[in-house]
Amino acid sequence: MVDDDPAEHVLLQRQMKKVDGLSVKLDYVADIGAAVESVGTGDVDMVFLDNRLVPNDDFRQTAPLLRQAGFVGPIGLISSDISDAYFNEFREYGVDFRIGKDEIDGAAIRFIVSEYTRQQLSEACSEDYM
Amino acid sequence: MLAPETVFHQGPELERAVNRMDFFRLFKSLAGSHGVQFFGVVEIPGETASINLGQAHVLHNFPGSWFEDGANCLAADPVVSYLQQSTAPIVLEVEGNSSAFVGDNCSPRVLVVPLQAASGKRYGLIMSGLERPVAHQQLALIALDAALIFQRYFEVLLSLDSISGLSEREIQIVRWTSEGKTSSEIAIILGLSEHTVNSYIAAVLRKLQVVNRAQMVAAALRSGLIS
Amino acid sequence: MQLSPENLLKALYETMPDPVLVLDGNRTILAVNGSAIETLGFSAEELIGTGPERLYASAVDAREVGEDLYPLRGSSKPYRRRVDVRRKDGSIFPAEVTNSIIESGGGQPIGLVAIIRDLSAVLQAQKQRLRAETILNTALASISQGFAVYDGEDRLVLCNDAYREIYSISAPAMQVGSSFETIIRYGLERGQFPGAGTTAETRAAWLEQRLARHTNPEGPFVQKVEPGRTLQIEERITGDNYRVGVLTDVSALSEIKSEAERLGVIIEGVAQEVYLVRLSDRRFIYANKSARDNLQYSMDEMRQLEPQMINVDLFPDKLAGKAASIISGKTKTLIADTMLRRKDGTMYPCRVRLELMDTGPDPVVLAFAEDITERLEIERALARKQHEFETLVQNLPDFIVRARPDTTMTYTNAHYARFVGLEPAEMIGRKFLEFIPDHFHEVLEAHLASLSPDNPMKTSEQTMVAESGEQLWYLWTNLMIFEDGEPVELLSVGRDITETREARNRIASQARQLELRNDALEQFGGIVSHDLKAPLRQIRLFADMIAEDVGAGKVDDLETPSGYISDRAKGLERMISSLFEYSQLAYQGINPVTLRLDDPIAAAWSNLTVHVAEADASLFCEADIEIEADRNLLIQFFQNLFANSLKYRDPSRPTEVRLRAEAGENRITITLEDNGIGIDPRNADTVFGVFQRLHPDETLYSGSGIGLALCRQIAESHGGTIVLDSSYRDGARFVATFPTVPL
Repeated sequence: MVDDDPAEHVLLQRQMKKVDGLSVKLDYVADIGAAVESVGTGDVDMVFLDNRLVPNDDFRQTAPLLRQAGFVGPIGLISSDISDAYFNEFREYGVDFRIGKDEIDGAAIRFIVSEYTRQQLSEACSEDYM
Repeated sequence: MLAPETVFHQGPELERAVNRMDFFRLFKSLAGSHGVQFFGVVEIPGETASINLGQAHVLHNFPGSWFEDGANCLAADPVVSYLQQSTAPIVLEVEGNSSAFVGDNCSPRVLVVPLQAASGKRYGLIMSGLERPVAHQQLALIALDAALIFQRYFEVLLSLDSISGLSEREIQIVRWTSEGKTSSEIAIILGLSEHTVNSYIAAVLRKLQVVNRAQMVAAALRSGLIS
Repeated sequence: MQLSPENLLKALYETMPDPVLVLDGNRTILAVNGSAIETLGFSAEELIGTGPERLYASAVDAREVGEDLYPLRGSSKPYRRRVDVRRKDGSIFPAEVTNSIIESGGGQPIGLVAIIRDLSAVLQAQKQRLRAETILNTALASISQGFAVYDGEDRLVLCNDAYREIYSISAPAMQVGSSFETIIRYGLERGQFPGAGTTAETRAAWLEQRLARHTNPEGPFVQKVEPGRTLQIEERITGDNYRVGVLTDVSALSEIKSEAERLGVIIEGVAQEVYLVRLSDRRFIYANKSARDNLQYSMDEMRQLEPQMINVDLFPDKLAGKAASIISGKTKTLIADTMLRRKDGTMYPCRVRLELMDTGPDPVVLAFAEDITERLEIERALARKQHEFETLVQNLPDFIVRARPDTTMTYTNAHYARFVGLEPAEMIGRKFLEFIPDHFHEVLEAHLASLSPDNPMKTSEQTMVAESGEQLWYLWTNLMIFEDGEPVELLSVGRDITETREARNRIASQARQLELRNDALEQFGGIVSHDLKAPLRQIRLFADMIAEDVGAGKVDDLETPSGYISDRAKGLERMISSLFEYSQLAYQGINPVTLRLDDPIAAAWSNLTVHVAEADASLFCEADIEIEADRNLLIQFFQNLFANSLKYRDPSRPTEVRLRAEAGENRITITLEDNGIGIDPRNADTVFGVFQRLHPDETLYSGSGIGLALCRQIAESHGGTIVLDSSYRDGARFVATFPTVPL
């Protein structure tokens, strides 16, 4: 989780604990530099990215930094308000999904985990090199 | 941020939705605004077949522990058989433990809204564990909102199955695939997640009606989508 | 030879001018006479012994005659038939054949004699008679006069179409043989004769008179008939007691006559005085009613007068002189104003128009005279009005200028001249461009050049400097008058709108204030929904967390959530009081006073004494400039800027704040620089928003994040601006402008 407010980490961690049968390790970093460093270790499967991280403007600056670092796992954009028009461009900046902070609860976390760990392609074409 | 009080067909969120997560959020918000925690949009198979929650277009947040193998729901389930036989929204009072959609210690009240896609395929919205009885008018409103969200879901994602023509992003991914790149390599090249790349590939497979990458590239070459 | 009956018969037979043929009972020719041979062209030998059929031009005639006569029967009557006969040469002539049966001594029919009478000549004569009749009828029909002939018993013999047309109502009764009286009565009953009146009595009388006149014509008379015609009727009795009537339409003639009469009536009735004077004896021969009434003479009295007797000032010499040119024919008309004397001795002014009417042996002069008493009065009234108008224009508070298109003045009213400091007369001939501020010349020239025949009037607002030096705003309405597309005159009216403009500016300023308040309100709404909601959500979630932990008996780590709750609640409190402060400012009007800029700067710096000491900060200030502004707001303005510099200082060096104010035209520019950590250029604008939280650790930089928003609010409420100079690298630099006088 990348968020400049450590309180959000505490809250998300608590929400995750409440989901039955889910075992997730939630790391916390406060800025994008630390996040880039963290995904570089290869231990990160998914990133929850806060939209506004000082000193950056918004996800349009930060998400590409994660991708440039070679991170190919899902990036979820979290913000207290995702109603601004520019949020609609999220996929163009390498973000997989967006969710309002107030929408995050056990059910949402369960769906996210199942959705983004699901095998979308059949065995036949998972990585059939040509 | 979704405003739960907002009636969906008046809100801009519906217009903005672009991926499965967004539609999950919309249905979740609809359920939440009526005090429902668990819900699912499922594809209704032919008569007497069971429902598989693992299918590509299903959106749900039911706990896996409720179902066999975490995803299967028998045709004998009263919710499933209602969906197979009816097209009208209803609130079912399920007896005992007869339905998988009623969790332990949950209310036996299940709200079912059959939905019909323009392609002819039938789907259903299931909202389980309603604490309070549902008034007729409220049921009608839920059915209307469900139909509106589902219609949009169909337009944005489900109809891809029947639409020919690939988006620019999809063509890029097919082209890279034709050059032997794996999903994760393409993800790095395009600055996307592997998940998203695979979503695109899955969409292309459906559009070209093929089952693997080799066929996908061949079909794309044949139809001149790539060269 | 003895003249026996037989011989006589034979002689007759031979000398008959008509061809005679004798046929037997078998229809064979037995004998023919000389005329037959001559007429028919056949020799006797050729005819005798043959049948007569070939002599008929028509085979039908030949057969029918044969069938009618054969076999021969005894008959006392000869058989006659009109047939066409063919000669030997093929020519055909019309004839009448008379067949008489010859009987034997015993009364038995034994043959017949056929006498052929050539009808060519008879028919020819008949045809000629018919043609003569037709010509007569055509002639009668073609003459426009009505023409009718009644016989000795007064029955209609003939009449032409014109007659029927003239008496169109009576026409159905005009049958040949109908009596004159019948035809007249028919028309009378149907209103043919308007002269007969409409009652039975008047009509009976009229009929009696008409019949008498018909019986004993006494020369032509005039009769009116419907529809709308006047006829002259002339009736004559012929030698054989026939009555011939000729009717001539004289409608046109009688109209001309009545028009002349009408004209006379009009001339008599017109308001203008009309006189006719005979030149030979210089006497009036006519004066119309209007003339007689005005002069109070009767027509007879007038006829005794000479023109000079009623003329007061022209006659005798002047008028004679003038009249001479008319009498001689040198001039056609003469117009003169003169005075005429009435019978009672009073006089009236008159405009007379004289015209020589007739150059014949007895020429007359026609004089039209118009009493111009009223006209003169009107003219005097007009002159009076003109004068009043002039006085009004002279005293109007507006400026009124007439000028040539190049703005050379031909008239200015006193008010404008007074404003400029000249006499109206001194303005004439000068261009009004001279009296307009220099910088406005070009605008005005362009403005005047844009006037066109289609769009000749426009208004412009401009400043005018009075002689006193006072600057006022005038709204000029310029009207260019065009003739044939060319500008000929410029009419300009200027009105003092200084006060209106001030009022307008006041309204604009109020509108701007309102807009600022609305902006603030809008921002306020955004803040409530975003910035206030986020900490509330956290508070709720942490409270839930505590409840869960307490419920589960885990009470060892309640400090973390309660710490967050307390922290977020404090943040909320700060935000709410800041919002209150901000909204108060947004709704507060400014109270401008004239002051030196140093004064609020010093006050603001000293208000921050504690922080200044803490930051080891120094202020370098060059701002000895006069400004009109709200002092308290300016203190707050500088205090917030200074607080910002102190807050975001670079801890590694002493804080320096440099403030410089420069007076420009109407505006003061204030530049403030510090040597702190600076602000990312990307946030150049967002820093002025409410609650822009640029630094995550609020405990490090305490504050509510509305300081700079307040600064902008204060600047804008004065009509000023404040921006971040994002090019500055050694810290933060703010540039603010204030008007010397707040809008």
